[in-house]
Formats: sequence, structure tokens, C-alpha cells
Amino acid sequence: MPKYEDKIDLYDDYGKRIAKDVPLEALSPLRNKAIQKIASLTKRTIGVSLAGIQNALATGVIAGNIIQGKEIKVDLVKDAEKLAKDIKEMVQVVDGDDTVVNVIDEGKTLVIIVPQARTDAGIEYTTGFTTVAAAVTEAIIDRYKVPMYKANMVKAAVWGKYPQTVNFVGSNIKTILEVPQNNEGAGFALRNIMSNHVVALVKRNAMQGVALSAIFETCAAYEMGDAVGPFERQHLLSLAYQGMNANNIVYSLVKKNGKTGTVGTVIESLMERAIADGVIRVKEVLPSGYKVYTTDDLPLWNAYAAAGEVAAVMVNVGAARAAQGVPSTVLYYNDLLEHESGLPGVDYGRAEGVGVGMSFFSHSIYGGGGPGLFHGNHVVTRHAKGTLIPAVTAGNCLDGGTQFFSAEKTSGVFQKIFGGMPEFNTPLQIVGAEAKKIKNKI
Amino acid sequence: MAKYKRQFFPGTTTPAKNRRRYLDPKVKLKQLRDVPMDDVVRIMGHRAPGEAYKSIHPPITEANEPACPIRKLVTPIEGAAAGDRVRYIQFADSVYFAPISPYQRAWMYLSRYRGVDTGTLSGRQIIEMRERNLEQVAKELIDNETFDPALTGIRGATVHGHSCRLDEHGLMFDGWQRYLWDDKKKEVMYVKDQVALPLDKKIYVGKPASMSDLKKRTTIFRADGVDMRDDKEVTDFYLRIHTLRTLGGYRPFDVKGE
Amino acid sequence: MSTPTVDYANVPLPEVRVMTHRLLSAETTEKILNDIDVIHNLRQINMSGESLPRTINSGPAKGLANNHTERKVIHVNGHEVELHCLVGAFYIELSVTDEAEMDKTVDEIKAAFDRTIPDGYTIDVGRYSKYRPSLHDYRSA
Repeated sequence: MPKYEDKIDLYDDYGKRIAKDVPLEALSPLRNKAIQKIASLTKRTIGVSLAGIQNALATGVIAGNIIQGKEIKVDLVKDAEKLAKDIKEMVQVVDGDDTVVNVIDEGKTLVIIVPQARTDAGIEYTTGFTTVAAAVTEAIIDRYKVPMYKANMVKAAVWGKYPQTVNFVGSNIKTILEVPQNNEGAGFALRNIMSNHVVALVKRNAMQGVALSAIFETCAAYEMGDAVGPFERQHLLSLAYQGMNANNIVYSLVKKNGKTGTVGTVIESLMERAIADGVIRVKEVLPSGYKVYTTDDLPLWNAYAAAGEVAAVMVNVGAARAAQGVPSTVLYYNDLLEHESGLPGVDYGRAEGVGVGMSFFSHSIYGGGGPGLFHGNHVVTRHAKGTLIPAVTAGNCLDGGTQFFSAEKTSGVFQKIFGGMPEFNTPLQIVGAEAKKIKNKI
Repeated sequence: MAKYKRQFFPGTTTPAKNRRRYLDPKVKLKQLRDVPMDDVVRIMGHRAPGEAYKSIHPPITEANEPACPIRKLVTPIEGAAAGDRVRYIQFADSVYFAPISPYQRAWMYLSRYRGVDTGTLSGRQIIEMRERNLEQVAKELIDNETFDPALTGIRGATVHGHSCRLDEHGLMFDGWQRYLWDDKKKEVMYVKDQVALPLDKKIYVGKPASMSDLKKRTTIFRADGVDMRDDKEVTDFYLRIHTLRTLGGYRPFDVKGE
Repeated sequence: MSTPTVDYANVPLPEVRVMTHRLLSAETTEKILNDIDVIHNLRQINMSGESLPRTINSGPAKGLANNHTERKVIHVNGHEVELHCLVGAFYIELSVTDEAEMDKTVDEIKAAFDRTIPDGYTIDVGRYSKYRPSLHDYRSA
């Protein structure tokens, strides 16, 4: 028996139905194997820049410093296949397990997925990084017979400045996760993924970006202790309606308002839909004629509002093809919605509050970077859990080339690393298909 | 699905009604003056009149956009399609019954325009858009009833003045004196652009409205005008939202029919 | 602490504060100052208002002359006074010995403002500025 009565229809990024009458729990990270695979691959997938290491060794420029006299001339890119074999032997647990070592980019980059046995045998998600970093260091020292007094250069070219620094500054090993010490709090690991990384992973497909960000945020909600007991349903509802295009709300709102609409007309369409679906109803009519709306299901209203928030960003920021409008759209969408309905905005005012701070931090008034650099681990964004970052990713996906910190610039490498993984490129289809598969088993 | 009609804002008082009017895109705002487009361009100072638009990225075509169904649904505004730079205009609104206040500007912009980035501060409101769209919007905002020559300032930097006493001609204070009172024509004229670079010609933006007229037009609640506490619908609304946010932040699943 | 150089230092003489409803032009400021300058028993007049910078102090026009029409030299009783702000407040210190003298002086000040300031003002009598050093004056840098 499912815990919750809610049933939803899942639609893909083109508004095509994937599954009908899916129980809400089929989207739970605790039940949906595709989401679990996304979480697992996120920590296990590591990129190695062989070209970067080769250059660092050849020039002595490592982790921001120059050390002359200890340069090492080796052609790692040419030997990529051989190194890949050496590394695989060290990373895998047994022959034929789920370890993957792929050479891409004509040898400049390796994509490595460490076997699950390694992450299962420990409790920290840095296992992927440390395993690969150690294996690469060792493979280079071994293959090129690097003498003892130069071996430290290899270590620094691979690991970066760590452990002098908390994180791996200057490392040539790439992961989309940050070190735990940089997380704002317990369970924040999956919130500490830059929006631009997600944009790169989904190749600028806005609906898929929203889905992937929502999946990361929802998994984090469980890890943070936010989605436990009676609070779980709310997180699953926002994942479904905002992230997974449940009942095609997001897509149809954008379709209706995409040509000529504004944030205001998205609110109009959302109110229409929420009333028609029986989520809200008129509580009283005031002397001016203003109708105060109420709901018997505040978490569901929150999910509708969150879906509208993403649609509003898609319409307004999409029309501008300029990501900078994300925070103000989030802020005023929620404010206008509250004034329209008499009900609280997304995450009960938190998304609106975050919009205020994020407007400031993402514009040059603070000298800061664009919205692409934001993630849920930021001091101004962390408060709206689950429902803000998907909207930020939507806006960043739709940028037409106005951002100094573009996804191509900050996260291009991850597009290559995660390029062939459907879990990260088309999560709507993959997670939706799994939900369909398990819908009768819940 | 029954067609939903937007209601915008509660309240029975004049400022509340004015807020609803400004917010409603179906209401065509009154045009009070006609400042030539070239002069609007001069006051903003981003390009010389007649100069071509600079671009920040190549023009957007269907062929060069990433495969994203949302991009197919959302038509870029003209300036975005052309790859224009994002530029701004910023208005300062006096607390002395200016026709509109910064916060309602944000609501109005997002209700009436597409492709907008906007930000509100205590006394000023910036709107950022692709350049050619910005110019159209800027002209509308200078020409229509949300602008008063005396109480609305076009100020890109150093906007101080919105909460200062007015000067003897009734103009909002500006330390950089971007605009002057022409005593002969009884009109306000701009002599500097929005960042105080001198203009090569005087640009007239018309006669200020009378205080009694402004009190009828404003969105501002003030103790010496309409006190917000005198509009029960409005105060009740804000108390309601505050309560519901608090309850939602505690145990949302327990909030039913509130 | 050094000994005060004049006998009225450290004495809280009464002060009249006038806030005008509008910020005054240089011309009006000159007029009102000349109007009250002739009143007896005034020890000093301080003015404040909204600052008018000499040059544009930020943004792309930084460094250019501001050319604010009201930032200029006015003449008060034959003395040149350089205005740095659009005046909106006067703090007039009274050198009076009893209440009757004070009331008489305040009435004369009121009469002058009534004549010169058509947009109105508020007037208060009290003490609004410092008349003796406090801890703040001894803080380092």
C-alpha cells in the first residue's frame, strides 16, 4: 500500500505522457532506482584531465605555484589508453565489475566510474575522488618510473594543493561535488552542485535541467532530515510538480504563455489551473470584490506554486534569453502570487526571501558572479529547500550568451564527462520510466 | 477550465485601487507627454541616437539554439533575438506622493512586460532589458502617468533624494541636479543624462502635477494621505500572509482551510 | 583637559531649531540669513541640509564639475558664505540671560521666517548641538 493517496501523471520535456496514475512514492529517492542511480553516479563519476596533468608536470605550474627544476616531460595524452588500463586495474575490485574507465577527447580526458563496492565499503562520498586521484598518481609514477624526489610533483599535479588547503585547489581530477568541509550543513552535499554544472549535464535543455536540479535537491532534503515523517509528502509533491512535470502543469503553463505572456499571465494561468483542480477555493469575498483563497492541502498548493515559479522563469527569463532575471522573477512571481491569492508563496515565503538576497548577490552591485554560479549550498539560497534551485537552473539553461560565467566556461568539462549518461542528460525520461515500472509495486 | 480573472491587490482605498490599475496589463495607462525617442535615448546615455545597437552574442535563430523544447515555446523578445546588450534605466520615486513607488514598479513591470530583470531598493527601481526593448519601455514609462517630472527622477547612480524634502519649486532633491526648473515654461528640463554626464541639449519632460492630483493618483500609503491602517482589507491581507507563512513554515500539513 | 578659553564654553545656551518644509534655494537662504542676522542676542547660526558636491563623485561622470545652480557664494551682512548644501535646517544659538529675553528673541526669529519662508517651517527651542566635549571627542583616530 502506498503511504500517500496522491497519484500523478508524468510527462516528458515535450509534454508527452510517460506514465499515468503513478503513486507519488514512485518518485521517492528511497524507492525509485533511477534516482538512486543518479545519486550513486554523481559521487562515483570522476573526470581526469590528463592534458592538465601533463601540462602541469611539463611546466612545473601546479596548484597555482611554479616549482622550477622539477619538471617532468611525459606524454600522458598519447599514453592515455595504457594509463587507463593501469588505472582500471587499481580502481576495480574484481575483473568485470561495474568499474568504467573511458578515454575521451583524444586522450586528453579520462572518465572514470569507481565501482559501487568501494562507496559501499565506506561512508563518505569523497571515495570516488580519492580513489581515482590515488590511482592516477600511482599509475604515472609507475609507468614513467618517476624518481622519489620528483614524485611529489605528480601528487600535486593530480591532487592539487590539498592537504594544505581544505578542498582540492588546482586539482586535475574533476567531480561535480565539493568536499564535505565546504557544505553549509549536514546533508548538503547534493545541494552543493553549481547550477551551471546541471546546465552542462542536460545540455541546456531547461525542462531536464529543472528535473535534475529538483532530484538533487530532493535527495538532499532526505539527507538533511527535511523529508522525514509528515514532511516527506511536501518534498515529493514539489519534486513531482515542479521537477518532473507532473500532470504537465509546467509545460502547459509555458506553452500557454510562451509567445506573448508575462510573469503576470503565468500567475493567471496557474490560478485557473489550481481552482479547476480543486487545490484552492474562495474563502471569502471582501467588500472591494477581492477574493481570499484558501486550501485544505497547503503542501499541494506549495507544489503548484513551485511549478508556476519555474514556468514564470521560463517565460520571463526565456523571453529575455538572459539568465540575470532569475532572482527577480522568483521574488516578484511569489509576491504577485501572494497578492493574487491570499495564500503564501513557494516554500511559505522562503523562495521570495531568497529572491531578494540572490538579486543582490548575483548582480554586479556586489561584484559577484552570475546566477550560474549559484547552488543550494549558498548562504542566500539554502533556505528555500528543493524549490529554488530548479528555477535557477531553468533560467541558466535559457541564457542566450549574456553571462560572463557561462555553463560552457565553468562546467564544459562535465558536459564531456557526463555526456553519454542518459540519467544526467534526460532524467525526466529515465526517472519517469522507472516510476512507471514500479507504480504497481508500491 | 473556467477563465480566471486576475484581482491583483486587495483594498478599498485610492492607493489600493491605483495599484490594481497600474498592475493590470489590460488597463492602458494614460499618456501625459510625448518625449521624443531620441531624447529618451540621450537621457539613458547607453548609445547616441541613431547609433547601431551593439550586441553581446550572435543573433538567435532556430538553427543555433540548443535543443530545448522550452526555447521553442518561448519567443525571445526582439532585442534578445538580435543579441542586444542588456542595459538599464532607473527611476527614483519621491515619498511625497509620487505617482508610483519602487516596489509597485516591480509588480507592474513583471505584469506588463516580458524579458525583464528588475530590482527594488528603498527609493529607486532599476529595470534591465535588452537594449531596444528597454528603449521602448523607457519611453512608455517616461510618457505615461507613472511618471511625474517633479517627483520621479531618472537616475542611474547617486539616487539620493526620494526621502528628502522637496525644493522650493516642488522638485525632488538631486545633489547632481540632472534636471532643472524652467520658470518661464513652468516645466522640468533634463540637462544631464541619468549618470550626470552633461546633455548637449535641454530635454523637456513637462509640467509637474498638482499635489491634489497626485494624491488621487499615488500608490503610496502615508499617514498624511491614506494611512494603510485605514484600509482594513490591506492590513488584514498582510497579517494573513504573515500568519500563513509562519504556520506553513512550522507544520504545513496541519494548515487546512485557514 | 585644558581650561576653556571663554567663559560661556560648556554652558548649554538655548538653541532655536528651524526646519523648513522645503529645501531652500541659495537666494532664499541668503535672504533669511540677512533677515535674522540683525536680531540681537544671537551667538551663532549653523545650517544643514542636503549635500551638494563640487564635482560628480561617482559613476561614469566622476570628476566632472557638478555645476549645481545652488552651490554658490552668498552674502550675509557683507560677509561671503560658501554654500555646500541645499539648506533645510537652522540651529540658532541664543546668548540670552533670562526667559523673557529668550522669548523676545524667538519671536523676532519667527517673524523673520514668517516674512521670508512662504512654504512653512517648524520651530523648536531647546538644545540640539553639543556644547561641551564628550567621550566621542577623545577617541583615537
